[in-house]
Amino acid sequence: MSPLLLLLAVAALADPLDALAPAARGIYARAEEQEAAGRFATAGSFYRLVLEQDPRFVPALLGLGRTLEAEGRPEAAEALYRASAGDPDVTEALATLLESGRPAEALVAWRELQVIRLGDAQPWLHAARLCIRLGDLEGAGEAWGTYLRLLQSEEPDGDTLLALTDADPAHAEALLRAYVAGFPDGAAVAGARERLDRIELEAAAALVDLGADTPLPAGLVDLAARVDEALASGRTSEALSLAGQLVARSPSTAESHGRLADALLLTGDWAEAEVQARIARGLAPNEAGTRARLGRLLADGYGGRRNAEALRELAAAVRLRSGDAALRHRFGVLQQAEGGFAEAAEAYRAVLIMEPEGPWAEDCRVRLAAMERQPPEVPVSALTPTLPVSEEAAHRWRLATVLLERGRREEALKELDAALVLAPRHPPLLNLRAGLELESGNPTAAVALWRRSLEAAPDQAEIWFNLAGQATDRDERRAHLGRAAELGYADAHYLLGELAAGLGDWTTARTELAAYFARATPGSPYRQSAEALQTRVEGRRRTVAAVLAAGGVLGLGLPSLWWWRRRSGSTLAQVLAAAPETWHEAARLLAGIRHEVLKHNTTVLPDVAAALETGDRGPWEAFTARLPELDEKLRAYISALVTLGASRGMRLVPETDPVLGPLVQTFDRLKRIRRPEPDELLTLSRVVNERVFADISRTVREICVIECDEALVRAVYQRVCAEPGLAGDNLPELWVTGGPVTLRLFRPDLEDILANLLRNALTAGARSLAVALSESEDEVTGHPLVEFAVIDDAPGTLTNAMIRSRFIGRGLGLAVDLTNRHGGSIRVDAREEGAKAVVVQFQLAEGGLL
Amino acid sequence: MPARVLIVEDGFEYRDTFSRYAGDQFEFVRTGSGAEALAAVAAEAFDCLFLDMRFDRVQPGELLGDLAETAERFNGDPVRATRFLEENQGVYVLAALREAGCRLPAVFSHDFSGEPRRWSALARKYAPVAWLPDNASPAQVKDCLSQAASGALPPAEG
Repeated sequence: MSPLLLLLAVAALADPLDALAPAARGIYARAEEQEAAGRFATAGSFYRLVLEQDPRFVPALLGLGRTLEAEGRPEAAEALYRASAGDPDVTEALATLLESGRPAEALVAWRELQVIRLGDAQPWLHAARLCIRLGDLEGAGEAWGTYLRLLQSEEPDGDTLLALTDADPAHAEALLRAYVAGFPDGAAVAGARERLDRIELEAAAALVDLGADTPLPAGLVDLAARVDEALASGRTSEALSLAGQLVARSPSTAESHGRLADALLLTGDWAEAEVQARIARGLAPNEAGTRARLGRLLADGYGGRRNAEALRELAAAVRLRSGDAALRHRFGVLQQAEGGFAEAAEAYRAVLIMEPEGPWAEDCRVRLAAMERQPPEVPVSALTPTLPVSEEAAHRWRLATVLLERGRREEALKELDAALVLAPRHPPLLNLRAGLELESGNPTAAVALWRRSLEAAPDQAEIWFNLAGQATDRDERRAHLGRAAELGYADAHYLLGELAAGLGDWTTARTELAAYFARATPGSPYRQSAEALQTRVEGRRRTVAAVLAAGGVLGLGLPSLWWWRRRSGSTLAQVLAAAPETWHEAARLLAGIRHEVLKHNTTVLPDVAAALETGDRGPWEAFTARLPELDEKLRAYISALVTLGASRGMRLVPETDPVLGPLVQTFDRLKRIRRPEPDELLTLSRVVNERVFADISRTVREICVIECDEALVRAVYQRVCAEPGLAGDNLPELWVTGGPVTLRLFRPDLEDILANLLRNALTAGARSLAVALSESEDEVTGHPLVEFAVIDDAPGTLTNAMIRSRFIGRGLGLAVDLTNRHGGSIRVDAREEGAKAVVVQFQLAEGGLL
Repeated sequence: MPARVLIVEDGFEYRDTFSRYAGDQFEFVRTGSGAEALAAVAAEAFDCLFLDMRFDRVQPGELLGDLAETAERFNGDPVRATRFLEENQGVYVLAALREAGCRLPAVFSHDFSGEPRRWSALARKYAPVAWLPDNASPAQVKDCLSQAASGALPPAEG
């Protein structure tokens, strides 16, 4: 220790009385005795005597101050303290004296002490208290923060904390939570918890919206009825358009937003539907319909992730409309899914009381019975079967099982291997070990173990199926699947059928599929794929049958073929024409065929043929090696197109489609070729690389291309002007410039976009209105673009940010949605003299998107 | 000495396919992004460029083009903007190369047969340029690359 530190340590330990002369010490002792006895005047006299002998002896000065205060002479005490300012103890005494009556001056004194006594928390605590009293919440917060830091992990003063949080609710929650977490047994924990509870209540209450719904104006009742009728009839676009009008004309009515939400749901636009449903719910939170709609939407739209909120909404709806059996049934189902069995049972019982023969009654009975079913007792003898292996092997096996369940894989493997040493031919052990090898990425080891297992017990269908999954050779795979199928494994039949179909053996494929459907359980993972394959096989079979029929009955052939084609399905062009909204998805899938199947692949067929001419089979073998993968991709794209058609109620039959049929047939032929002939390859190349390629491009290019010109714009404007809310008003003349422009869009959607923009300009009070049609070009990519700008002088502000946030007040949500859906953009431009233009831009349609 | 072709693609399909059928006639060097292409033309000599159009397998951060500005054009939607940059990345790469002073003949892998107006704009901006459709045979590929490498493509206007 250094001499200086030593000196400081000695000084700190020294008794202050040591500084006094012996006689003065006696007087000081008498002073303390008198003060303790409550004889303050006498005590003060003794303190004065000490100070006469040593005026700088602070304990005596403090003692004198205390006696003065006790005698009711605070001004004298204050003067005494102020005369000795600078000493920390004296400053503290002064601050304490002033704290009750003169907080501002006390604060100054405590702040002096913060400097004099660096590292002492108390001055900061007092400063915090005084700041609270003086209303200086910022100062209080800062002082409290420093106080906490200096305390480190010691418990802070609870009373001050509570006073601070009462005075400053904005920062209260964090302070209270920190206190409760840090000092769960602290003196002020009860008060802190009480305040936290209140804060949470207040926060929740702030979110409760009591609504501001306005009734639907009488003039819009007819429009609302038209929305309902369109919704009921499934006329999606019309419902959406009418509901958009309803919202635009009555934006503060829950019914309007509710109908728009329902229409949006029909189009599959869940996000915007939720926005509208929430607006409706916000406007009318005490209306059962708005709560039920939002609850159903949340339950259906998030795969269960937002069931908690959905339940709250449905519970509120049930409370408001207690006699609705459908609602109660839905509530029960959701409760059951979330584990609220008692609540669910209560709901089901209520449904059965309300409508015992209603459409939900049977489901409620089944669910109630299931929830009330008691588990059966399993006979003890069945739980203690005879061990198939030695006790030691069984013990190791059990240990391995437990270790695996706990994720301790390495230890489990050791136990399992030890069990296998004891029972090396026991199939379940071998199969378990094989499964673990496969999980570790060692298929070779897994296959070896499965083979050992099958040597011990050859009738394990599942193990043959597993082996087939790892087979590298088609024949080997077929043999393993055949064995699994013989043993009754239904999924093996499906895969055998798929193999046969891949080889063009449609008869075998059909037989295997029939066996699959006869044996497969409802939960078979291949059921969907098997159904798709069956469609292909049946299509093929019908094609063959049709060709035979055409050859056999030539006289009736053509009419029969025409009739059969009409009956057997639709072409891709028919699907696109009948359901133009599928165009984007169809174009994407056709682009996939071009890019993933044809490009780099079938395009090499001419060179493969040229190589064959010279006797070089290498390119052909390289091509056939890739063929199964290409075929799989092609089938996947075509299957997606079939599904797309089915989603619009149309049965697309690829085999008979003029675009897809030749492609499918070429691939079928390529797969069957064993002795490739150059001429045939060139013929097939022409089919896929020229004809199919061109047909795909044309199919996409020619659909949905429309021309927007002055006549179309004026027709839309006239329709808008004739709408009930606008007819009869003094509406401005429309100016149309530029055009015509060509773009790829469904005509009803283009008209809806234009109508929406024009209607909004009129309802916003436009006195002059123009539409400018023009073309431009993307600076980098060269894409030609078309624009139509709706220019108006309506008062009020409209910005890009408002448009992008679906600005309800101007009802532009529909135009924004339709523009987005068709890959366009929409913006607001300022124009001269306070006018503005809403500009919609699309790519000019001069070709396909491929 | 075979002509050197710089292929810019987000995969390896063009390099692999072309090498298989035209490896004796051309030397193919592949780069996977616009930034790599810029570095390659700065460091080595090539006879022509071959540009894939769609780059949907690179990280969005590797795409050339101003994402914020493009998003502004698509109603503030960065997802659509990224898709646009991906689908037209070949042009963005050539634009950057031209901006950096690279005047090598360039061949796009894209079917412009249905977009004559767009092709006219690109030819005006980025000549010398040519294009090959997806269904081009190896012979057509070799022929087009030979023309490009020998400087037979139409030069820039003006």
